[in-house]
Amino acid sequence: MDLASTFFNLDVLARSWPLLLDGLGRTILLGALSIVLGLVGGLFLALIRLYAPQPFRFLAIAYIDVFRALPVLVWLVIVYYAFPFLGLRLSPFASACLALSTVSAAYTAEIYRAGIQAIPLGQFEAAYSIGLNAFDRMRDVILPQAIRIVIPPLTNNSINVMKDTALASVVALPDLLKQATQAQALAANPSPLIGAAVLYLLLLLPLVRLVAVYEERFRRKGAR
Amino acid sequence: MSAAPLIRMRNVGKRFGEFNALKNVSLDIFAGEVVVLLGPSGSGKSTLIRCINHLEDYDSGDVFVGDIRVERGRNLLAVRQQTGMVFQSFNLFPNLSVLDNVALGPVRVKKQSWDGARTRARELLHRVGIADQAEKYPAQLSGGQQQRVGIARALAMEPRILLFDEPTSALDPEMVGEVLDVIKRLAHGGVTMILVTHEMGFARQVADRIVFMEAGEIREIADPQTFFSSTTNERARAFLDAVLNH
Repeated sequence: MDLASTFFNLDVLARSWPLLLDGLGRTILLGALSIVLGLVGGLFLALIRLYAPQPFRFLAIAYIDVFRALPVLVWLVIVYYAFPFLGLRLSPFASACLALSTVSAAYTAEIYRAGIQAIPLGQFEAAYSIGLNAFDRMRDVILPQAIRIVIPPLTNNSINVMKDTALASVVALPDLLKQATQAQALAANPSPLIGAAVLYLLLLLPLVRLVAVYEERFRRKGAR
Repeated sequence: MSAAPLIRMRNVGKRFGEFNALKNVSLDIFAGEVVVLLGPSGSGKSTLIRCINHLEDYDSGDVFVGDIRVERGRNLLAVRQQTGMVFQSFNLFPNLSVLDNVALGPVRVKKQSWDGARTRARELLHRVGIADQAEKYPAQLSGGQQQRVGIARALAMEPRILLFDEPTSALDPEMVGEVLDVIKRLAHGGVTMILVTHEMGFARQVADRIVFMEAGEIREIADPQTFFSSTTNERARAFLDAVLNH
């Protein structure tokens, strides 16, 4: 029983490969969908928080605070195991997607808000002065500048969402981690877990690097 | 001059906390007039013109642009279409090309096509002498060029009046002239404008009327000849002595 045949057993890996790929596909689908929903939902939350009439503003703040304080795993378990008592029975995939995107939206809302608030007042005044309405002001002037500023933190958040998809194995979603543990049990060998870890890294390391490069570029531009 | 004034300000007051920025200011501006606001810093000049397009909300009195009262609400966009503003710090949109900075307002507010608005924008850029910079971005331009884009952007909405808020104060000295030349040409072309500036020679050349402010109040209104050579207002005299003799 040497290290190689225990953790890097190519024979076991080859046999579990289809299962891992199947899980990887589902992980990517869940992650991508949750990221997109979180990005869109967060933008609306941020705009409500900043510009809506008072009661809506308060609701947005409450939402953002609650979902930033609530552990994702706890929220996911509630969605999957507690919502059926209210008559809402969601599939594992839908539960995970709902839990991940609702939490992600709370985080991205704060990121967008910081970006919008970083835009100089003069930009708003120039937009007012040519008579742009609120929608055009945001679409043409403020958001293009604000989003450029917050691409690195948004990407960081997206990385976190992609990693948190692994929690979905708790509600029996056959994602990458779940399939790997399945294959491990089948083969009585942990190599599929190592394989899964490698796949997660291959998926996320480029994104992590991208953020680092972008931040470096931004820092140098700012220093100039 | 029997026509109704384009801008009517009546007993306008504005406070920032304890500070009285405007006290009981009344002023009429007529079509075709060039009015220059002079006065020490903090005297309320910028606040006054910012009340006209409601970048500042005044606390008391009335401001009218044409027949429309300047106030929060659905009329505000109409007020802002009729009043163009040029800012001290240019405030160009850095995410848009020079051409689109100028074309954006007509496209969004006047619902023109991008093609039509860009053609018109090129004409305006030509008019302010920077047609060859149309495809660049604001950050690639000098301060003087940026301010001329700011003027073209304001003109693109075909406003009835232009408001200049210290248009040359943020410029390097060698670029002041090119911007003043553009403003001068507009003034001689009959564009109605209110200017806040510290360029005394320029004020004297272009102004139809000088409005002198101090401590939030209008202290004197006079034609430039009278104001610069023989004002009897004590505070205006002191101000002129301070800025002209250094």
